[in-house]
Amino acid sequence: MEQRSVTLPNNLRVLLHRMPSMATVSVCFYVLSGARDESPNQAGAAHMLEHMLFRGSEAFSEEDIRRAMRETGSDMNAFTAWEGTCIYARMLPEYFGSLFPVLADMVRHPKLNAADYEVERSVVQEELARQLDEPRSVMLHELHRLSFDDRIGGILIGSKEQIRDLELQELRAFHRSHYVPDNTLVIITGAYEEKQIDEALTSLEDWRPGADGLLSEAVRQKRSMGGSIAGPEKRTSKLMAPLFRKGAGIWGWRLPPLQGADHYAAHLLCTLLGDDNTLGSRFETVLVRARIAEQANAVYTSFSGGGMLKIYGTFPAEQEEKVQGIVMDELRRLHEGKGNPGELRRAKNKIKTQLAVDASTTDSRMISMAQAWLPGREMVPLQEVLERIDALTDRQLTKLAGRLLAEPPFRVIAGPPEHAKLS
Amino acid sequence: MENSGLFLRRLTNGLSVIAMPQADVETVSVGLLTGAGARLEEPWELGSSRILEYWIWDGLSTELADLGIHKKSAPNIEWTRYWVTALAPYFAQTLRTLLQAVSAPGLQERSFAAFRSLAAHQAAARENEPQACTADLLRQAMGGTQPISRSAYGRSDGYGILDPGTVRNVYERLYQPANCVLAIVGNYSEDHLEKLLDDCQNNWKGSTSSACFPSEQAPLWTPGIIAKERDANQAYLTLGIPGVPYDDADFFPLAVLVQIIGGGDGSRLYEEIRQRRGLVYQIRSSLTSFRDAGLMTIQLGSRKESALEALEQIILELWRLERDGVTEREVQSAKNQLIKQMVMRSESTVARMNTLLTSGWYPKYPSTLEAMRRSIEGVTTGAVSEAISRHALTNSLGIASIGPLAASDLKAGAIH
Repeated sequence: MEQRSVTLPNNLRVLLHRMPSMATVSVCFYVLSGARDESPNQAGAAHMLEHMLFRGSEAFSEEDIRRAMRETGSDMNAFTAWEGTCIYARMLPEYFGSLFPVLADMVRHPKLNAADYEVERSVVQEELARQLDEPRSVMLHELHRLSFDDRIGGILIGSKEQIRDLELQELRAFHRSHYVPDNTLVIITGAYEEKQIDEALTSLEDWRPGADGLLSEAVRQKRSMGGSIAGPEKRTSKLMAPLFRKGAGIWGWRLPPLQGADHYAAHLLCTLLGDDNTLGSRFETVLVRARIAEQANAVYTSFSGGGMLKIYGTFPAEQEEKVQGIVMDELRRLHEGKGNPGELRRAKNKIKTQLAVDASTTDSRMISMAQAWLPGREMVPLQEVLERIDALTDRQLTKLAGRLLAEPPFRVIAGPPEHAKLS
Repeated sequence: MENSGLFLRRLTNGLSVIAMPQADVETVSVGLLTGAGARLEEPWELGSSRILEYWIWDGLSTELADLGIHKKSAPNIEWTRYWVTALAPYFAQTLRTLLQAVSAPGLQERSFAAFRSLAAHQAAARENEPQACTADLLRQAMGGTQPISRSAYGRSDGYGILDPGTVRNVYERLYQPANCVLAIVGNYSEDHLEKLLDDCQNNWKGSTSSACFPSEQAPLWTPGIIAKERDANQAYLTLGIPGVPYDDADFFPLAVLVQIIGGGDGSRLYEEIRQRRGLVYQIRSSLTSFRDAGLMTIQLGSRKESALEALEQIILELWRLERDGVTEREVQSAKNQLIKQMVMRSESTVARMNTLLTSGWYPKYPSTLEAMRRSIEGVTTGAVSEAISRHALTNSLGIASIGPLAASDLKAGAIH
């Protein structure tokens, strides 16, 4: 496995992982700005811009882009997060030379045409309508509303009104400020040839840095000042609507920035409690197998200036207090050092398997590399990630569980309207 | 991958085994498909396959979890498949545990209620996924009371009548080695595999005939419209057109047609309905095939004010296909896309293993990339046009909706 990082003279950071036995090459432009970096007039712009990139660029029309994808059978897609926007493609290696310039031009020189914008605005309204029909999404929006008083407290893709009122010029302004090489990470993984990389990177050398110099540093500093925590009286919200056909709850804890081992410990704690692969997790044992909840899992999301650990569960509507009691008991058990060494070993093994699975396709490896780079803004090779996980002890979990117990979580409890009458 | 890379064996107990070594990866994926699903159950057994999906692992999950193994399962109306992905050194323990779960599960009475409850909850949870539910609803609309119309997830309120004895009977009938396929892809020890397969055929006895599949006439689809009105921001629609089973000569021509209709970016529906009109966020068509029947489906979600326009445009597009057929260029492009996507998917051991399970279960479904490529490349524009004429796209249409639209709205929209 050949992994390396390069910084071009325009401060574009590039991460490379050559995987010669793979069938594909994956490439992404990870712009280090997302919805959190929008000004009040720009709410929804990061996500809308991501959509508009696929509507054509200076050198390639929308039809050219579509044809390039179809003719090469490639996947090209994008996603927007609070602090990043990722535009990526996965292709057979022989098409890297022809598709990289298309992706690069989409990112650098999007057309942002007014007629296309009106149609795309309607598509995004449809996307929002779908999100608002998904119980878990609605609960997450509510959790953010409770927990943050800055942009993260809103809907990532914008509310119906924000999308309606968003002007095309704001997309242009957002693009001008954030889509600059010193605020972008390029990652390429898979069966590429070094010569192809040289050509691709040379083509990006004329990309001029942002006017503010290393913009990403300024953005990070601004982020760390935002988002004050609401008082205890505003930490709970109950949503009772026909949309929720059963009971569900999300508990969220805001955490300070977690560096080094503490960052990995947060992920390990979530895996131990209940990851997506619920097999043998604590929640599977004490909630699901005990028939108290139908599902329960934990996830840690890291932001600049802090992070959030969330626990989500579905359960019969009347079981809410019991589920919360058991969740808190589990945290207490870990805080008091009563965790089983076997559980810790199991959680580590699960993460190692996940990392190996991620490394078995080029696109998942690409995303793993981004996730490993983002917290410390440095490349962490796969082997080093494994070593960091291995080095964790129950001491870090004990400390983290203690932090969670120190203050009550934000919580969103949802259920069908009948439950509202009962309670 | 060529045939030569495949290990194929039918054990003396009837279990079919397909394996493909890949020494350059760090993981191995092991899957088992058994012919247990709602379609194969008697009316008083409905939901049993779903309970078994969880119950057979009772007592074994911890062993897998300790190794950090990823375990998944997926139900269908005519099969249940399980797969696990492990780091290569854990291959032997992984395969042994999987075989133990399916061949000698504990099925303890004391744990039955927990697993029945879990299956019922999963069925209820699916109601929160309206798009997925419209696919079940469509089969109800077009299949009436035939077993093919059942939901693979069962009815959340139907699990209460099931008892351990009933579910054990379903296990005895459907979890026969001859009614199962085992597939392995990745980095594994061939010596360990041989040894474990020998143990398997010695210890897992059963009927060597795989006559579990119903022998009655192939199901018939009839056109129909069904709507479940619900307060929602979008109307979720699935449209269905009778398709073909996996072994039908029209299977690959229809796969190409479905790609042209709504197979992602650049397809006819994506371009017209999303890119030109902005009526949807997602729209896609797919081909769902069974042993003796199939359906072509088109799925979309759209707000109430735009859903009928989207429906009208879909029907117009189907009508244009009937009138004008497809172009040579479209067919070439769709074939090209299908082949290249298949090669890209093969990178994942899980995806490759699942393809092997499908090929082991459905006779004539290609098991190698080369065979699949030949089948797709062999599709001509004429074959797609003939398939269109044989499968009357607009006259046999079924429509299912969940959301703010009534059946009368859909009917008016479709006729318009």
